[in-house]
Amino acid sequence: MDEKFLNVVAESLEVDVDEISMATEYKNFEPWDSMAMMSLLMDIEEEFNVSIPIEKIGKVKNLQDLFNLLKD
Amino acid sequence: MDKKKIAILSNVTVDMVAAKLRKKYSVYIPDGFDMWITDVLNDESALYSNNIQAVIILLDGTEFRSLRSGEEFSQRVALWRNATEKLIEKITDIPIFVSTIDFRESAIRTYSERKYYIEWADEWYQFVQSLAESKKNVYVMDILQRILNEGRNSFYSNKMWYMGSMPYSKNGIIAVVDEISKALSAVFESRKKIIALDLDNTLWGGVIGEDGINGVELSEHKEGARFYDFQLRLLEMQKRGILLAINSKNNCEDAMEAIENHPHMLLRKNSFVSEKINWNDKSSNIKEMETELNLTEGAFVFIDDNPVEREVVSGQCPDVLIPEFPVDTTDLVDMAEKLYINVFKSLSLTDEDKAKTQMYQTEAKRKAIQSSTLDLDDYIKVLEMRADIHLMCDEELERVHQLCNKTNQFNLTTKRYTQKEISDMLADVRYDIFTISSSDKFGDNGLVGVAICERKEKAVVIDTFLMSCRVMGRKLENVIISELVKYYKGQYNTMIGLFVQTKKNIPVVKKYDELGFAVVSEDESGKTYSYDISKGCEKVNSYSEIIFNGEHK
Repeated sequence: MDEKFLNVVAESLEVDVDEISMATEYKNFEPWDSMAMMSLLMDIEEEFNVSIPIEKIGKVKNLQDLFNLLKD
Repeated sequence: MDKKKIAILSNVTVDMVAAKLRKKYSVYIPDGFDMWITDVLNDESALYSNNIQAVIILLDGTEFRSLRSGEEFSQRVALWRNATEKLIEKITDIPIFVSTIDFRESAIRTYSERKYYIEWADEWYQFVQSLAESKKNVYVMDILQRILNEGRNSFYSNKMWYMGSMPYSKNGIIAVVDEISKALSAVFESRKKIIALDLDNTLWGGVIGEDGINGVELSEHKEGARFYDFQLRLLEMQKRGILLAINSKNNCEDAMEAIENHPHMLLRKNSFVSEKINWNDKSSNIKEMETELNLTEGAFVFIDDNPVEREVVSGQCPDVLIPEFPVDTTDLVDMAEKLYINVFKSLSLTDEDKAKTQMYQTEAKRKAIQSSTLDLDDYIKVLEMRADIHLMCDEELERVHQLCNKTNQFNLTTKRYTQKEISDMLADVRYDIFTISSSDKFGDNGLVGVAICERKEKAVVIDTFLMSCRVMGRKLENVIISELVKYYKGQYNTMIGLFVQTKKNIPVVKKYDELGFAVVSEDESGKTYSYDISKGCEKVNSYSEIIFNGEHK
């Protein structure tokens, strides 16, 4: 599932999957801006068939945080 | 080829919509959220300086959920209305699409309280529609209908709205991009021209040869109405300039009996420009129609319920568009509407469009004469051909634009111009735009040709030379060149003709050679020809009348 997650993220952010890891930070990775965050949410919600509450999104600091939300 | 530049003006975040459109277009959106009004009011805005070729005003009504009174609503809409009017004052020559609006009023109302969203949507629609009717470059993009078809629950996302003032869900974005793409393809892309239709189980239910005229399914109500409604859509298309033809395996008498006499047939013999009712291979029927009607294969759509026939045609005629036939024929009406929107829908209706079927039918009568008279000049005499060539006037802009963008076969350079580019040339003394109209004893062909001549220092260059395929093969091009030579004599010694080969302009590969031009240079992009104006040009004597007017109207 980790691998699938990173692939979905890479595709959504339009970057190579090698450029990202679970440690990739929202603040420090240029392609992941606020607009990309919205697209990303739409993509992972669809891909993993989940709905992530808006409260949780503000606390996302890196991809690991986002990934953890999928399991809640 | 350079991407066309378009602008999207919106009161919501459309970055994601723009990102998807950027695959095909260069998209300008104002910087900053809801800055479109400021942008419209700012004369220095890139909106007015950036060679934008189409503008979309895409307005969303989600923010109305946060408004507390009808008064707040009116103020907001008045602002939108003023900005739209301002934009239309400033941009008069490139297409502007203004969206309809789905106002999402709060649902907290009792069963007896008044809700406003319907009248608000209507009020805005009336405003936009009246603009479209009074301004020749304004069109309605009916996003509201699309939202109703998609369903609000699927179109919108509350989360995206509260996160980033972006009201659309993933599906919503796809739908918005699709609506914008369709509008833009009506501006920038060539359209299909003709639908070749099967009969049995396509225009009616059942097989005419077996069930007979009283046995086939076709009625105004109940089951038979699915074919009636389908025919009605086809008839509506026919009235908008889309040609209809029959391509059916049947005994001709059986089929014509139903077409002429079935009480509920909407499409009659005079609705079609060609009827191929025989036992031949359907792809060869289509190829015959191409020759008969002077259309390219790419102009055709073929509708048939039989997958085997579709397969055969798609194998032999790869450029024909062959939509999937609905498994459930109750969906025929939707299929027709989708087909229209995808490949036929045009910006507006010209007089030529309304009379198109009739024009092609008289063309068939002309062909009949042609086959009985062998010599081309005799044929032109019998037809009593008349030509009227004059410098283009403002009223012809729409038709000239349409011809520049639709003409594929007799088109020496195939330069696609926007309305703005054409009106710029019209105002520019370096360019002479000639329009050519023709008529004959069967009727008026209307405006059928365009020649754009650029006055360079030492020569006059024919930048664009095109003619509707309806009037090909009647020496009209000889008439035009002979008149142009006469017109430019004394001003220039040399006329330059350009030929740029495309997949579709094969019929005119040798045209300049035939017209007496000499090749000057040649490379992969095309050929440059020259004509010595001082030697004059032979007049076409077989024409009954040639009117030429080189004065600006």
